[in-house]
Amino acid sequence: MLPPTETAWLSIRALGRKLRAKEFSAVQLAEFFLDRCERHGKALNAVVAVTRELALKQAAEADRELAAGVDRGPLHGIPYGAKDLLATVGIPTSWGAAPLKDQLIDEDATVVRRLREAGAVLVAKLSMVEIAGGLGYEQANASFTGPGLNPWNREAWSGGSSSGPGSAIGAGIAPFAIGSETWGSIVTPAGYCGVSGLRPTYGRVSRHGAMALSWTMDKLGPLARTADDCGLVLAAIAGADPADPSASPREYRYPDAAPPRPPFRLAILKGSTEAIQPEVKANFEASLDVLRPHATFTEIELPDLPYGTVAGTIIACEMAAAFEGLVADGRIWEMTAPEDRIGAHASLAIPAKDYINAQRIRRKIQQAIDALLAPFDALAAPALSTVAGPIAVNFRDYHQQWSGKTSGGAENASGIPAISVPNGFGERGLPTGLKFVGRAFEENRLLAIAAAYQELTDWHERRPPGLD
Amino acid sequence: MSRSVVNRRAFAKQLAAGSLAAAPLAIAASGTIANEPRPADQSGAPAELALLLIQQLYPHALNDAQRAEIQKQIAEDQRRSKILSGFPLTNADEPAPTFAAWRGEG
Repeated sequence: MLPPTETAWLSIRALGRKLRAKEFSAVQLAEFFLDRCERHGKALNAVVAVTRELALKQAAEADRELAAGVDRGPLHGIPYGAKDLLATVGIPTSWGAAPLKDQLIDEDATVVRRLREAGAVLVAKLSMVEIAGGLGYEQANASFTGPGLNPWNREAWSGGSSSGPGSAIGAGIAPFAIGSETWGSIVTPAGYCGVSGLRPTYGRVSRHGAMALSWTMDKLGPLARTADDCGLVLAAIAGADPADPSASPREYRYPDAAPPRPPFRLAILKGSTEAIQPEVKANFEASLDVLRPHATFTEIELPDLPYGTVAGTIIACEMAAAFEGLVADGRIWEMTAPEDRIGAHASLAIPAKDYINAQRIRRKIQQAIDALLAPFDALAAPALSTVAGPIAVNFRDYHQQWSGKTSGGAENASGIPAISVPNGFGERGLPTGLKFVGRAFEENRLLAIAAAYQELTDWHERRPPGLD
Repeated sequence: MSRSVVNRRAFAKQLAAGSLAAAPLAIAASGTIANEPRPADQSGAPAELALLLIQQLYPHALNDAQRAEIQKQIAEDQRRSKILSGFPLTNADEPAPTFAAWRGEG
């Protein structure tokens, strides 16, 4: 017998307790989420492939080990989905791109291997924007799997480029997923789909086996129901990797032995509630009210540095190097979004000195942002200036009047971590997000603050309608 | 799609010799006059040359709208280039990711 429907909305810790109490087996749990992948995942364009055979094999092994007294920890027997830029032996890895939909890579990504070693069960490869959005897509229909649909309102986008992970967690298709962010690709779908999404520090998680859009800006991280779940997953995937020289040898432990305690010292970016949707603003201010008894607030301003120019130039140049082959051999013309078919061409002509200068300025950005954040536990901000836009509307048209001040370029140029957690709803019944940003390698501060916020609110426990 | 027969070095030579005005993917195709002399500071010229370079290296059959869009993106890259070049950097300012010597096991 499959577990009850409410199982879809349980945290990793709650699922683990029920598994160990023998309320269901790992195989039954896998069957439960495989069924949801089939029923809801495909309808939301969130799933590229349901990995039934592998999942049932891994789940059976998890059951055997638990019966034998071998417990691999909090992810033992817990199903998950992987953004389809993570290599998996024997299962195609499409990078969201039509010309690569049958691509086979003969090695598991390091995160996939680490999750397997932690006892997790892969139930699906999840949809994504083609080439992780690096070709400059301007509308939701930019993947061979179709536009990512939002579980709260199927007329709205799920966000990108980790569209499948956002939608899958929002719809209770898997307890957690692995996404990637180069600039916004975890925080955006987490915010739009009303889930918790952690973008770790650059180098915290090995990128080996993940599609490279930008070698110096790509980060892999979890999307899950709660901040606590994100910490549990990060603990399983973080750490040095000989196969990825950028992976940091800094040890990561969760939960931290000494997490920050209230009152949290929070910075607020000056002007961050201007030119954003009124509901986003109201929800952010309500979030600050919730935190007010437990935090101090200080308004700060970003130093005047060319964040967007630096981050944009670096991504464009590294993307051009990574995907020149698609342009040269003409496969670029098979991309789904028309704008993606010509989105790489201009970047192929950027002079090398621009890339190098961007990297030189980047070091100054890193130092300035670190100094700015040093007196604080985190910067708090609205995750996004709007709720998810309608599927049929071009991004530029939808965002035209909502160009709120954001630190996203500064964050990603610096490689620092952030977490987005749900904090209410806006127009068309769509979720809004609250973001905490911290200094490099301070994920546990962010997780502690976000977990404290989730103890005080129940936005993360809300469920979209019609997904039983 | 076949690769261009003009490699980067040959293209640079052509560019230096001024012979590209007669190239098959003429600047005129993007709505400008190919042989008209232009002041060095006219912002369209570098973008047109960059487009020409791209079309020589990756000879796809682009329509007018696609050429215009790529040219717009090149102009944006060149706007960013000016910002980057104008940023006060000293000779000691190194790039963020530092190269390190590598040695394998053994």
